[in-house]
Amino acid sequence: MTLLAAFQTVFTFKMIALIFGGSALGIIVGALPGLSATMGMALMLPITFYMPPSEGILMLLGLYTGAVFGGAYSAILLNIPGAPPSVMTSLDGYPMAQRGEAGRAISLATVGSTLGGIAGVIALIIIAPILARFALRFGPAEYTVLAVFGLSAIVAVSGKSLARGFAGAALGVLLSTVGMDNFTNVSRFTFGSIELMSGINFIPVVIGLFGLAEVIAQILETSKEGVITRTINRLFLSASDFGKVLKGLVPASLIGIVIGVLPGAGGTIASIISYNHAMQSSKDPEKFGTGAPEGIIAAETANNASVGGAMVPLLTLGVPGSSPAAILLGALLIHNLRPGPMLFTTQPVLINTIFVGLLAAQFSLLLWGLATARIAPWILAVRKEMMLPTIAVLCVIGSFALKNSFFDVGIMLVSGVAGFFLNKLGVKPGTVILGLILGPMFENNLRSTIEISGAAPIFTSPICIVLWVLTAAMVLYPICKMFRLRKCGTE
Amino acid sequence: MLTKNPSTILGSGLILFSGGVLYLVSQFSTAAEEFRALSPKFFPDLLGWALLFLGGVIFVQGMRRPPAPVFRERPERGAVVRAILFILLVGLYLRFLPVIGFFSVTALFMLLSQALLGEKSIVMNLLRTGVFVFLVNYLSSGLLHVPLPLGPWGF
Repeated sequence: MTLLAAFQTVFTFKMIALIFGGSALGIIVGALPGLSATMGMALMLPITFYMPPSEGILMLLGLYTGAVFGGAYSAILLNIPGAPPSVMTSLDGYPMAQRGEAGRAISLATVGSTLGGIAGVIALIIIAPILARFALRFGPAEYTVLAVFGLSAIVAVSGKSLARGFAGAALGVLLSTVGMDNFTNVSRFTFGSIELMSGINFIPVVIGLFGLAEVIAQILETSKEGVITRTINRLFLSASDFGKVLKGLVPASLIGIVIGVLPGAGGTIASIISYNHAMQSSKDPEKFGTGAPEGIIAAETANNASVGGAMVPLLTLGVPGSSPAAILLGALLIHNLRPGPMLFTTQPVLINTIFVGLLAAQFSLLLWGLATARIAPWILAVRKEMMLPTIAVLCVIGSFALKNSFFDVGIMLVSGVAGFFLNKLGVKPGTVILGLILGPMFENNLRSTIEISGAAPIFTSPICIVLWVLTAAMVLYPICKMFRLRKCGTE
Repeated sequence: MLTKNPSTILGSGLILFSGGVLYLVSQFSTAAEEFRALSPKFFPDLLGWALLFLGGVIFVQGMRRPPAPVFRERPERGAVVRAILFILLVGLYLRFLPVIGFFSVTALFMLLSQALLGEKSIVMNLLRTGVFVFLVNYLSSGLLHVPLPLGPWGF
């Protein structure tokens, strides 16, 4: 019954317009080099405050899906991935465009993304309720360790320096401690300010770190404009191309889903692993990198399948594994909806609406991907002089709109300038955001656990032990890999 | 300065910052903590020490193996000036937003910032500004009912 209600909710003109509108906006954001899915979602997040939760979430999901796909446009036509998950698409997409097959490359990316996305949503529909039922057994001790597990994503998103990743997360957690302490009402880092008593709002910080910081970086960046391929020829795929898509669909989708579920991994890693897998299992691996359709299919299918995967830990456990997932979490929180197992019990229609809406977003990709392919070169030609002031105004309006507070706008401005310098010094903004979100979850649950039964359950509960093992694996695997690579490099 | 070693800059910055954090934590009121298992000081204190340690690690890393400079190529002087002026413009935008309202201040900001970033055609600048301000105003106030600040003349 809830599924039927969800279909009735999604298949209304307004909902479909929001999903398709979000998806179109996402494609533009993803296509423009320098703009990311996270930035687009951060700018749109405050607007969702004025919508019913299902409408706001579905618009953001459309935007997220569109932005992950949109990067393929610039990867194929410009040889610059518009978004990190499209980095592998450029390896074969651009050579195809250079030999006059840009339309075919875009169509392959569109169909691969759509099918990969659908596979990801199906996996989400199957896995999420099972995991949510299991997660009902979690208490404060389990949530404490779960927050640590979520923070292990920092290893994956911190880039080359782990110390910088942990420093970013520590700064984020520190920001989350500002305000009145929930347990004792002691003021922490408030400097006597009434606005700071209720803590630092997450949304202006996100907008500053991902929006304004990027605007400043773009102003300083020396212009490296590539040559845009402007001729888009036939868009329809041959039977042989469809065969290649179907052949690559299963492994690429599986890789995307599994990688998407893991905290911190996300679309970029999924596309890299999927591309390598496709190359290694190909009879003609030497064709990869010279314009092989299989390369585009592997990369695009996997990165869009990871979107569904990334929703699993977010919806079932309330742990965002990536920056876009963190923004979706924020969108739920501003409507007083706390993602986690209870959401499946208290809001079954909303959960099913998210599933159905995400599925509809995949079909919007197919429509927009094929319909906008011919105007893609014009989208890519948008100039900085117009784009950057527009983003700056949206940053200001977005951070103001949430509470009509100029204090929040000030927080956005400070976060933007600080985010620019931190990014330049190698601290990724994603690590700060993960710390800011998971910090309170860790601290509040840790203190509740200690108050109820002491610290012992954190180390002795069977679920906690499993989570500790998973956390250790998440942290140690990349570290071991890094040391092995360094050893190979010195030998 | 930022073309120099980013690890030593970040490391020393974190060490200084953590010193400030630890000092502020020591100033927290402790009246309520005896009733609770974990003091409200504990977590911020831990984070202060963690930042101090990480700052030290990053600083030492920078001394041992200097990474690539923050900017591989020194940014053009013009670009730096533009970035600073742009931030100042955003600051002024915030300052005057509640005074003269969204419509007027956004139009002024868009005109000035586009010119600052290199838009040479005044006609294009005016056209984009007009379309953008109208669209945002219509979407915010008309469709989404997001209240935007109004000026003394009612818009």
